[in-house]
Amino acid sequence: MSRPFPYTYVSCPCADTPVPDPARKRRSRESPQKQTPERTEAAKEVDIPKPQQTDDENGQTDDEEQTFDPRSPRSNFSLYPPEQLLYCEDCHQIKCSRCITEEIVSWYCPNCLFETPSSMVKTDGNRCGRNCFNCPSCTAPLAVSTIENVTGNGAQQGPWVLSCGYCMWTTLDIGIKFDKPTNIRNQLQKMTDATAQPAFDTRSRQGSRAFGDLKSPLSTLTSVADGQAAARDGGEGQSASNEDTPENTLSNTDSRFAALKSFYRTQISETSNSPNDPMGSDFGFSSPGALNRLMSLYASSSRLSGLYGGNKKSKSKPPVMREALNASEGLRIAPEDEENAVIERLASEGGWDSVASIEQRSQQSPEVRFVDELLPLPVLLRTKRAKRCKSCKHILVKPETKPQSTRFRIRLIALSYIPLPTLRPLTLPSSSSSAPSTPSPDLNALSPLRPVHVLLTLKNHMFDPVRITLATPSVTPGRVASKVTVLCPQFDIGANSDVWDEALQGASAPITGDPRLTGLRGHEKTPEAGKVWDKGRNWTTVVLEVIPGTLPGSEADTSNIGNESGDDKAVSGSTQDQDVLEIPVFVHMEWDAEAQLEQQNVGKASKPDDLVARELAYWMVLGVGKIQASL
Amino acid sequence: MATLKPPPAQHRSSSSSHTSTGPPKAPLKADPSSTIADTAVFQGTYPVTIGANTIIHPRARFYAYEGPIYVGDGCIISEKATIGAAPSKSRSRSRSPSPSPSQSGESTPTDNQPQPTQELTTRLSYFVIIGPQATVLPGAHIHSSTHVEALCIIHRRADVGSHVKICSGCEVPESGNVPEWIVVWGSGLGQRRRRVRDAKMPGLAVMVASLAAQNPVPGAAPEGKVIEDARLMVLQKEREALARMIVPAGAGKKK
Amino acid sequence: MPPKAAKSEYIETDTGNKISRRSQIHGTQHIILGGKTVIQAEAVIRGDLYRIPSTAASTDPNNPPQQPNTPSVAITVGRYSYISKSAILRPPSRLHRGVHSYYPLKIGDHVFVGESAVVEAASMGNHVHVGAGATVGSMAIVKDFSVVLEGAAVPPGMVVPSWCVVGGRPARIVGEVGEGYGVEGAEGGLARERYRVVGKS
Repeated sequence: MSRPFPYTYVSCPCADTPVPDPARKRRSRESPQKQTPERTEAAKEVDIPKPQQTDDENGQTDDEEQTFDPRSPRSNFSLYPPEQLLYCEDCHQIKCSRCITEEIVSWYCPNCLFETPSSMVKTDGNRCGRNCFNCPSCTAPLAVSTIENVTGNGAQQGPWVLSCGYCMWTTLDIGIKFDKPTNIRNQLQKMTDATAQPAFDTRSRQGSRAFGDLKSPLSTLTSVADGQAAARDGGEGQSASNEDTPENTLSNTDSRFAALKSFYRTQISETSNSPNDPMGSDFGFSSPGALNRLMSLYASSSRLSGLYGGNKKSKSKPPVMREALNASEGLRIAPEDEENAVIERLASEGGWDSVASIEQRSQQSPEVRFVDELLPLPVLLRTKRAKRCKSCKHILVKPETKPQSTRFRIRLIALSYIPLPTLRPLTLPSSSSSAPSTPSPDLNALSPLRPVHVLLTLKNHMFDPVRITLATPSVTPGRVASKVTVLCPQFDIGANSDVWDEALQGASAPITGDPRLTGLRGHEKTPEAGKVWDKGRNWTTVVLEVIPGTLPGSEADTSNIGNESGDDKAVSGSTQDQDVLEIPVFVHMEWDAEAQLEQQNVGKASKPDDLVARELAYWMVLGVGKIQASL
Repeated sequence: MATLKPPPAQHRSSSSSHTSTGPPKAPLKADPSSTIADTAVFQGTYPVTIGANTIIHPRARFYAYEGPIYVGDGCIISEKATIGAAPSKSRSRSRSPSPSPSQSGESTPTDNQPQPTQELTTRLSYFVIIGPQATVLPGAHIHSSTHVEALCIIHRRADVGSHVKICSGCEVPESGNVPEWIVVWGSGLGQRRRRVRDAKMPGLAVMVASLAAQNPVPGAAPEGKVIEDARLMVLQKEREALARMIVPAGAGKKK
Repeated sequence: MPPKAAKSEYIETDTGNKISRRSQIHGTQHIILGGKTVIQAEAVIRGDLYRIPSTAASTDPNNPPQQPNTPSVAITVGRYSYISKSAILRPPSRLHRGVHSYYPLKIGDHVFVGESAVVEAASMGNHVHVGAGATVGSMAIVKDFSVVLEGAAVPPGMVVPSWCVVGGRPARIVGEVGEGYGVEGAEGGLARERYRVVGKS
């Protein structure tokens, strides 16, 4: 991965034991609507002991002794930098981004950092409704600036433009200036959106359609949702749009879309047989109930026959649905010369430079072809999200709603529970017998077969002391077999006592943790089996001895990192990154925690009766370095 | 706007005091109205000419080993910008063993230079901004009112037109050509965009909208050039401000 | 590894700042370092580009004339921040009401500025990481716990919200950092460790 050596990743156990997904459970209970109660009960019971069940199911992989292979393709999906992992106190398990569900706490504009109330998000098309725009040319933020001011007289009057400080695009490129420096989005909308102005729109359609040209994925969702409302007064909408001069209004893609939508909706309602029919008036393609109706359609056989054998049964032919015929219904016949006009324009005017790129067009209305048609893009909103455990719904992260705040109301990160691993190479003085005398080995070029010592520090953030057992395969998995020995696989880490202790101890505590200092201090210190290297208040350092293996290509052909040898063993996956030395380490931690009553127990914390033994085990991967091809 | 101003180089003495030990000091011809920071470095054997009202920020480096350097009027050369190439880059083998600096610049262009005998004039026209840590290699010609942002590299013999902006981190390849009024941006090879100089009619969408609303079509916007005029105005003001702030070469410098 | 100077490479100040002898700091009287800040060799800090309080701009009638000569601050850097080799800190500037002036550059605590990065931001919060070779454009605002990836070009005036990762040219928001970012010892919380090892070995 992209982190520099040395790094440590922690594996989320969800890859091996999938968390029971309550959403699936609920679905299985709800969707067969006519299910007998006992069957629902049965389904529940099958679902609840999910972990065991899944273990049984993929029993062939569920070998307790199996080594975690950092090279396995699945590992890509379970390894995380420690700071990205969460911890669920109810499940007593590490949680990664796939073990959680998210819910939006607030929306905010990343440019002005104002919160957008949730009621406004839809109508604003999920974009900032203030003065925040991105450059349609390069996506950098646009600034509102006045032309008059900079040219000298400081009057702060006169036309305003949006300008890009990066690529120098301005709204003058598309011939637009603004009269006021405020409410730019409204001004722009009035200038560019034909449908925003006429008063025939009654309700939210104005908003949704007006922002349709922004082409946000959410804005189409918005118009779909609004469709339900529009469906009910579909006739009215259609007649209203008939009153408009069609050639003006419907030149816009979005207004055409709206017209087509309302036209077909009325067509569907007119052609349906009876008001009771499920294909009745409120059946719209956008109706959320459509799927349910379809499902029940298939479920009951009579409906099925009504659908397929309906031709024979139905006495009267249903009225045939017709297609849109004229412009007011949304029809637009492609002008014959349109393509020619575009080609002519390409040839005569700007050439390549004048054509908008695919990236630029993807953010714009579909008609936009040339750079001088690009409109400024209101900034897309971002969200602050709370995170819940997928299996127990326990809330794991809850940020403050205010966009500017970086605080959390709840933040159960894994680092508060599992010891924070840090890795660094051991720099031994030259007198040492085992290590090379170079001050620090170049981790990006480790010599094969030359032992390297690395220090693994585990720092405990819990208020209880922890017993750790480390286990590692003696030979790393994969084709480059490096030998690994944890010199001290079992050790204790002290509790993370009161922060004041550290403060009162002053600088002394951290300094003992200083790798360089300990290196300097312990000149005679050599890595010794069975002994911890160093120990502090809430951290312990142990030594790992690593003998990097030789790369497959290097014995035969020292110049090559074995590209050609990859062919014969193609089964084992790609040969890329095979020179990366990653060590899987199994961490088993045990501690005595206070029984469930964490909150109430604060006063009488030291009562031993309340303690329960806890344990947690997980894999982590230590990225030590890269192995050189040659010796 | 002449790029060559012959007045005697007042800054020479102090700039030489900084670089006196090792490498050769480039003969510096600076206009008296220019402001050259005391920590700017001028090395090489060819002359360096600085035009009127030009600002040289501290730690800017001029390496006139492969040819003369001309900097026009009203330019800003930011800190750690490099004009020319340090000898270590191309002539390390010939130069490093013999530290006799005086004539090596002309006598040793025999190794891996593409065109060793030809002297490469580096030319910056007027109102050019070179950003922090940008590099302009020998032989490059940067035309007027062009802005080269931070960390850019203008390779040898490149020709950058006037009113061009090279956005930060972008490069202009060797002997590359950037036409005038172009913005080079993005990463990798970068993308190019032509800036708009003249007035644009409002786009189709605007026309349609105003028709639909029975509003008059909005009046023509000003020419795109006004933006550039404004930018040059800002440049002018920045130069004036900087001229007051930068510690010039020679503490008791006349203004 | 920077080549070792004859004396120790770093000067340690009363407040524990470690400043390379080969750093290139201008206008020291306009720079405030919060303590325990590291400035590596060849880093340029432009304290000389401070805001001149309106004296030069006598044309402007609104400004109070002739402030007494209080040294205005050009650059503030918080605690445990780290300015890598060849990085440039330079106060942003802009033209306001016809007056071109420099504005203070404020850098928070635990900030890392990578090698050869150019920072012209108006402000950078705490625990901000700016990768090597990145540029932070004039008047940009980089909020707490955000990451500017290597080689990114944060355009002028951009706001980088908290917890966001920006990259590319021009920089866009490309992701978010984990909730544990900035925890002492983890990614984003390595400032003390970084500080400690400076000048040792």
